[in-house]
Amino acid sequence: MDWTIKSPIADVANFGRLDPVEVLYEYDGPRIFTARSAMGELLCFLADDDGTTLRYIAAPTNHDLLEKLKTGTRALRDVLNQPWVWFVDVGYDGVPIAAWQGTLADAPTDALPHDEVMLWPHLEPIFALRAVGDGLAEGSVPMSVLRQIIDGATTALKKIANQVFEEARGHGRKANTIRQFYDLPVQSFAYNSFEVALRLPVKSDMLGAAGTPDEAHAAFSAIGNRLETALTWAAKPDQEGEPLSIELLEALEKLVPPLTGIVKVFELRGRMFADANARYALTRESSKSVRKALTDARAVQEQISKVSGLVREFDKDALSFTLRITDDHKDHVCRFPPEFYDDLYEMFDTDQRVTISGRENLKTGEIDVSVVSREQPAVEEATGQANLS
Amino acid sequence: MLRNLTDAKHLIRVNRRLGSVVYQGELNTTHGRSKLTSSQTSPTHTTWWPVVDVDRAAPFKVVNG
Repeated sequence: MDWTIKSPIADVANFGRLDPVEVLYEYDGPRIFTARSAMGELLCFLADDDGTTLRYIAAPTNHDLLEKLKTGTRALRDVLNQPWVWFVDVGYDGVPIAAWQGTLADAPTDALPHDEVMLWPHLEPIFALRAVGDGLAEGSVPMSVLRQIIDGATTALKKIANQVFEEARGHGRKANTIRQFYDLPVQSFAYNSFEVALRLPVKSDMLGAAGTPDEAHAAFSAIGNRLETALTWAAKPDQEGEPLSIELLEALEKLVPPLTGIVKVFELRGRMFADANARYALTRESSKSVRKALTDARAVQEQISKVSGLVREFDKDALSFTLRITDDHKDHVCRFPPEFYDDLYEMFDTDQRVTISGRENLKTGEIDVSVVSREQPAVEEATGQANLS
Repeated sequence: MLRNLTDAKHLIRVNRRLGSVVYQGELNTTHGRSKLTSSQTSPTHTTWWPVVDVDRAAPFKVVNG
């Protein structure tokens, strides 16, 4: 072996033959498996093989840890990283030769799995967003950063999912199907700097709405392709080519780091991209480019509008409604953020007039709602005003 | 060998001492025989029995570094 272990020697007899009980990963033989020993259950990881000897890292483990490993809640390295581990050299005849007790820090980095890698490829997050900045460590991540990551990921995916499924919606695809593609379960939080990883909903959560696993995968690939186009543009915004659509620019707007504050870079990865191992970085330079492109696009495609009307059609799943009997005599499809849900639903349910403000797409008349207020009813008698806010 | 690029990239992220590059290529009958020798934990593992004297490196190119 080209690495010598300097930690204390352990009694090799305690490991028996280190026979696998459950093989979790194999490639030309078992590479990750569980084994029983005099010290209890072990998770064994083949760290090196010099042609005559196999060197395993054997970490104490238990049923709960193994379940988290097998369901993708914990990364492989995280589960191996116990307060102490053993290094066990086994000859090609299967007989353990030597053992040492130490920690993962006693092994060279290239003998360990990557920090984030999951046990199996299908457990890798569908989408992960990592904030990079000085001081982002466990116990010191501000709520604002957490909120920005969650809001950024959810809103960006929603905007792209809306764009991808726009045509499908016209053909009767259920709106709650689309929701499955942006309101994703959190798979894990990691402090390297600070990452939120999202996984596919498990089948029981999906209520059959997202179709078969193949259909769901195809839909995520379509969203990933669109997002990859946006990220490629953000890496070289001055390059000539088709301008990005306003929806993709708005998705990027939610993912770029603010120009001030602790987060300097956001890094994206996940199985929704064609290369699941690729990393896409959005820097503060990206923020400036996105803002400029968005300002230019909005100047010709959008206007700020204020419209009053009645909420006559309300879509709980797509978070949208249709405003009719308006003061500009046009119907408007309006999309709104979740915080307006209760107010708008009450106004829909009680037929109250509402005034909304937001960005109106000049082509479609759709409005992205940013302000909602109830219209003050006319004063009928001298007894006073109604008590609506 | 693995039949899926994602699986191959995952393999070298788990087992870094296997190397840092993945070679990708297409084999045909002139290169020998292959069979899917998969298991539940390695669903795309494939065994290749090359024809004697065939240039085993020729069909492959590096796809990442």
